[in-house]
Amino acid sequence: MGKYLDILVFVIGGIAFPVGVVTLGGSLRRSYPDPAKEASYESGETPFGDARIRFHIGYYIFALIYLVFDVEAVFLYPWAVQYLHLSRGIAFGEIVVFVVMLLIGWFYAWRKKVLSWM
Amino acid sequence: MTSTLVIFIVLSLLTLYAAYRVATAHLITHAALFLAGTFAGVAALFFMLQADFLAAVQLLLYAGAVMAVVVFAIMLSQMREAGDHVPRWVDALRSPFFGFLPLISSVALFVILLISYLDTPWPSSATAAAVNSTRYVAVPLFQSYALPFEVASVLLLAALIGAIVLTRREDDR
Repeated sequence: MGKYLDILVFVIGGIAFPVGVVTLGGSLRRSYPDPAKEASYESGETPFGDARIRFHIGYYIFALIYLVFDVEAVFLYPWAVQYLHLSRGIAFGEIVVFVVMLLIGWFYAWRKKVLSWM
Repeated sequence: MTSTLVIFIVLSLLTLYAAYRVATAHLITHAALFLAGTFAGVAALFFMLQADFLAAVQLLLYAGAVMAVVVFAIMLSQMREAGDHVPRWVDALRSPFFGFLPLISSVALFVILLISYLDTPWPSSATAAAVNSTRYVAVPLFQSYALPFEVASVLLLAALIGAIVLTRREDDR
């Protein structure tokens, strides 16, 4: 438990610093609200419409492919870290079959041109 | 009360509150945000159980990839607020007449969890801390459960090809 205490302190500090600074700044400055000031900042462009627009279904594939390869990474990690504690020949064969399976999928995605941005 | 217990209680309450807000948030984008919070809270609880590997997987897969898919799905849908354009059968499920169904399923799930909790021989914390938690996952996965591991790769391949077939652009057909 003790080794995660650093992470906990880091998380608490990371939240407390921006919240504290913004609260302190808000309490010190004077407030002159103005419609132009309260508009969301779009790099100088005048914002229009709603932030919630519908995206093309074609973009969903990027999220799904990301999910599949993320799961693959999760399987590769324990294999790589604990390789010396496994029977090596068998473990190497297993991971080759696993990666080749995913490469088939990657090749299919590549040939179907789903990886190109639209 | 030890500091570990205090941290556990605070994390549990935060996780439970986030889970409650997933179900009650008015905007689905807010529900998605609270869902990410729930996943992160569960990961923190895994860290407290010294299950480092499980906690990292929880963060990487659930708070990362699954949340990306959920947010994409929300951006693709026309639904803005929870309850917009719900089908008639969903509305019927939420009526007082059928309202007991979610209650029954959650009580049943709780009972199953309780039974498995009472049946499991828990290792004492001293032995659990001694061994690296990644080894607990890796050694059985690549030795006793090698076949299920390879089946998982076939399942991932099927998921990838299925996703491509379902979302392919119209002009490629």
